[in-house]
Amino acid sequence: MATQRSSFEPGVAVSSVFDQIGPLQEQLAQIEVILEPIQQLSELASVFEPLREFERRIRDLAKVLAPMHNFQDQLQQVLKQFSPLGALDQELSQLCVSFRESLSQLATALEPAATLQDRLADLSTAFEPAKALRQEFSALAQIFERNSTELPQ
Amino acid sequence: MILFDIKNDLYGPPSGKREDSSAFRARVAVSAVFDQVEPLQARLTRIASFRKTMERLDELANVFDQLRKFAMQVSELARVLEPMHDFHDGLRPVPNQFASLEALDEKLKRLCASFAEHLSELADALGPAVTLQDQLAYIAGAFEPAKVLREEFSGLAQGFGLVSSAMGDARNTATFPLSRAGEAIDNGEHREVTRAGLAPERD
Repeated sequence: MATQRSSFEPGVAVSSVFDQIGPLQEQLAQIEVILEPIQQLSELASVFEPLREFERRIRDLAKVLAPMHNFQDQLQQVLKQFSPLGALDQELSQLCVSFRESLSQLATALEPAATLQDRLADLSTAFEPAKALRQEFSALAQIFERNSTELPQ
Repeated sequence: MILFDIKNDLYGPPSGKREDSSAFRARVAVSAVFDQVEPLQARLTRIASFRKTMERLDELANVFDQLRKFAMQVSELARVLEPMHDFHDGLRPVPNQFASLEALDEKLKRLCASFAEHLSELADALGPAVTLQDQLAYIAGAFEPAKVLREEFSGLAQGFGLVSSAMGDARNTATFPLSRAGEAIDNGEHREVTRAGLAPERD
């Protein structure tokens, strides 16, 4: 029994060293699980191109609607004399209000994406050590591997 | 790609119901314009749902500090084992006189082989994290337009707000008309927005 206790078992010894980082390896396994949702997020980034196109068209529309603004300025000067035109004035105001509301909603809808961009940049930095660590562990593995093969037969 | 036909949206289709198409319905017209970007808004909502995934990744990123410590410990161990390697190199010329040490040789060989195996596995386990880092860097770049687009849509909303508030105030003349709001965004101008309009350019 005493001899068994004192005998050195390389495999067991090394396993016990690596058992200590078992939870870390589990965390690395969880990172792998997140790869798929991140791929989905990557695909969602394609939303910005059509939004850019939409924004360009709305911007063009804003230019087109500018004369309407001048027209309404003029219109308001004669509203007292031509009260039936008040409805038109209201419609034009409503048009601008509706555009403003919808555009504000769209800007608000972009808020999480803008916030996420900052987060993604931070996470990208936080994950930078992964590459260096992988190289270090590979280099260490090679050192041990060399020692195991170069030892006398 | 034509995202919307403003004439059609504002006045309705030419062959539609006569009574309805002739009437101008501002809210309906604008809704029709924005209905076309509804699928895009749905995708933006999906993007928002990734907040928790980001939080989880934030937590998981802590793993690298601890792995760094472990890498240092194993590096130290590799240095400690170096004299053992030298010792065995010294034994190599006289193996017959030290045959009884063969078992020890074998164990040390297995020790190094086992370390090499575990370390290789650990390096492999870091593979997904490396891939993820590449992806995160790529997506962070791909998401850059979000901030600009948000500012531009806000700017345009304010531009339309200026018109409506100027209209409401009757003679409240905008110092920077709506038509210039788009141009200002094109030129990357950032001007103070007032109730009366965008403030004039500052020198």
